[in-house]
Amino acid sequence: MNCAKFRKMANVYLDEETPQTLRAAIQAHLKTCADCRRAYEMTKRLAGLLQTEPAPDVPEGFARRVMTRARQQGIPKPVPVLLYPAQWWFELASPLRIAAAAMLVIGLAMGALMGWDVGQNGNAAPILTKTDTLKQYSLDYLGDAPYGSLAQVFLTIGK
Amino acid sequence: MANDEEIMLAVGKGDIDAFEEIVLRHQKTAWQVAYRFLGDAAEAEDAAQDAFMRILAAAPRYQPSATFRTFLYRVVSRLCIDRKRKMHPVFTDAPPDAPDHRPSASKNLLTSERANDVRRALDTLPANQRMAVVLRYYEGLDYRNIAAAMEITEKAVERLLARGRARLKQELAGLLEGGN
Repeated sequence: MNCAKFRKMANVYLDEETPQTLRAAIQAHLKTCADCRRAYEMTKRLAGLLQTEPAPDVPEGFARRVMTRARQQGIPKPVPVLLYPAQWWFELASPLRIAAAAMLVIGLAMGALMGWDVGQNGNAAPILTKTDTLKQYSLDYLGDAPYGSLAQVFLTIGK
Repeated sequence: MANDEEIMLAVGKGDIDAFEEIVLRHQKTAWQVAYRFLGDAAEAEDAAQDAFMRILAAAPRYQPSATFRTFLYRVVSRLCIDRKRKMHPVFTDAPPDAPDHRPSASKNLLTSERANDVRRALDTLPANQRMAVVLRYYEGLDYRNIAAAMEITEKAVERLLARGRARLKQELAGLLEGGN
C-alpha cells in the first residue's frame, strides 16, 4: 500500500469500516510510514477532542412536556391496510355496494348499446353532401347584390 | 417487556399511554442529537419535541421494517437539518460570561474552553457534514446506520465524514498539534 491509498482509506480504517482484507495492509503501512502514522494519530486525536464536551442531560420535565403536546395532538385514525385488492369492496356499506353495482351495470349496458349501434351503421365515413353554399354559409342576405359588386363576385365564387 | 416496535404498533392502534414509554426510552437520544447538532438547548428542545410529535402522527402508518431507533434518528436528523437551514445567526451585545478565577475552577475552565472551541469548529460545518459527525462521534453509529438515518448512501456518509474531519482538523489545528 502506498501513502496516497492509505490517506484515502485512513478515515474508513479509523471507523472500523475497512474490509478485513485491507486491514493488514493498512497496519503494515502504518508501521513503516512515519508521515501517515502522524496523520492517522491526528485523526484519532480529533475523535478524542470532539468527545471532550460532556453529554448534556435532558432538561427536566421534557417527557412531561412532550406527553402534554401528544395528548393535545392525539393519534390520527389508523389508515386501513388493504390485505387483498378487492378488500375495499367488502368494506363498503350494502346500499353503497348496490348503488355502485347498478351504476356499473347501467354503464356497461349503455356502452354495449352504443357499440351495437355503431356496428349496425358500419364504419362508413359520414356522407358529405354538397349543400347550397348560400344556405350553408347563410349568404342569402347578399342575394340582392348589384352586378359587378364585390358581394356579387363572392357569391359567384361560392357557387 | 415489549420492544420499541411492538409499542409503536400499539400506539398506531390508538394507545397514547404506550407512547409515553417510547418518549421515556428515547428522550435522551433525541434531545442529545438535537443539542449536539443545533448547539442550543432551546432549539434542541423544540426539535426533539417536534420529532416525537412527527413520530406520533406517523404511528398509524408505522411499519417495523427497520429498528425504531433508526426511524427516530431519521426523523430527528431531518428536522434538525431543516431547522438549521432556516436558522439565522443571532448577534447579541451581551458580554460573554465572566471567567471563574478560583484555582479549583482552572481545570474546568480549560475543559470548557476546549468544548467551546469544538462547538465553534462544529458550527463551521455544513449541515449534512455536521449531522454525519454527530451521529458518528457522539452516537457511535456505523456507516450503514448513518446512511439509513440521513437517507443517503454509505459512500456519501464516507465522503461527508472525510470532508467534515478535514475541516475540523483545520479549525482545531492548534488543539490537535498541542496534543492536550
